[in-house]
Amino acid sequence: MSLLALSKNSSFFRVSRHVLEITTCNTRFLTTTPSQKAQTVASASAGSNANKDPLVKTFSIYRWNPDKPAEKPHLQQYQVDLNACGPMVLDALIKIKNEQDATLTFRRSCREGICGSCAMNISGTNTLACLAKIDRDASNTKLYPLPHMYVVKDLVPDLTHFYKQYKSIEPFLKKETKPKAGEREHYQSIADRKKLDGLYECILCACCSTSCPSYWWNSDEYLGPAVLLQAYRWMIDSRDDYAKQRREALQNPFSVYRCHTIMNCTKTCPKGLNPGRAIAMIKKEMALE
Amino acid sequence: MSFGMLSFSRGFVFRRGFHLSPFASGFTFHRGFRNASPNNNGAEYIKGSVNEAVVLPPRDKVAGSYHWDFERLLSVTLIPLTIASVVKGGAHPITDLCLGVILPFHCHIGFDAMITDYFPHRRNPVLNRSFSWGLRAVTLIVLYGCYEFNTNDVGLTELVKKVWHA
Repeated sequence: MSLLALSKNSSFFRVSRHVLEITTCNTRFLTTTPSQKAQTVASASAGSNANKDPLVKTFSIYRWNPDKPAEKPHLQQYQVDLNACGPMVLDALIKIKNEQDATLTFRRSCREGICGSCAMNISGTNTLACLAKIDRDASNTKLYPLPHMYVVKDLVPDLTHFYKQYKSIEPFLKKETKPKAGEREHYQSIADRKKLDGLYECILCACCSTSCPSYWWNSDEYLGPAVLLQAYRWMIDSRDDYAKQRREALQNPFSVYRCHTIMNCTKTCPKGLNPGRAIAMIKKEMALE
Repeated sequence: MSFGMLSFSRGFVFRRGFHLSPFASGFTFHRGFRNASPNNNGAEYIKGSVNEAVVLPPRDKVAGSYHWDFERLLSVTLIPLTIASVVKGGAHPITDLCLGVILPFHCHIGFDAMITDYFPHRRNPVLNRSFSWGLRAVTLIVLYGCYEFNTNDVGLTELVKKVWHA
């Protein structure tokens, strides 16, 4: 199997799975013995670029150190061989942190696009670094922290206010009556559960809110697409009894109505959700009251 | 609560070293003293502790959904009105009257949204007030102007027609 991988660039493409030995092409190994095969497997899986020319790309990364606050933030260039690196931007970041500059600071956890830690601005777009493929054609990839956020260090934004806003919409089930004795579940029909699809998957990475110009100018009082998506998620949950009160809490010029359907949020969501539509649905439900 | 040395360079440097993003604006030195509260690590942009929910603005349906409803109502009314004034060949005093009332209000609401966006009251109280009153004055003048133009001159529809075919 490793020989197949190595011979990908060669002219001899058809290698029978059972006949591994002799290929007259660009591979370095003419015959393989079991021990040699183990070695090639090991070196191939270690990400060696033994048969590929190094594909070196530049990463320009925003750096700022709070321990030296007088030093202005700046872009630092790092060279990374993409053939010795995983495909995602997070792989490059970890590689840089491991091999070149251990002081480079960024949040990351799951490396699979579910935790929302590695949200950052990659070449102008807010996404998760673990889901953003490195552009192999571009000579330079720019990494910035999420726009218009206070920066704790390098690529780490301060999301405190974002979380406080999330808390303000009361993102938990609220029932008017206590469950009756013996009743353990809150029943919900399949149709009602379907309404939550596209809303519950939000991982609160803050990519959408930090892409919204209205949130840039008015983050104090405008809740932003992420929080409003979750507000809508609780509003239309059939198990929740406080939908009306949730809508009433947003009756002011700022919490919802700073949205002017710019739709940057939907464009940038790394999970493919549609906060813009959720906000429009909130406006519609509020209008009809 | 002493804030130690705060340097006024291109931005503010908070005591614990939070860097003000180059794009943020509006946080003044004095505001920090007034909003000083515990357990937010010295960050002045966090009101209350980091574990407290944000306090939503006071509820006001007029400024909230009623305003939005009214704005959409005006926009929706303008669609058939504009089409009618384009299509209609003959006398158009009614469409002129409607346009002369609805258009200034529609534009007023639009500009008011811009003022609320870029000069919100909590951040720029003086500019907000002066622009808002200026806008109201201008809207009144435009309303009067439309009335004058519709009664003593050719009217809005005719004006557009003349400019279009000029």
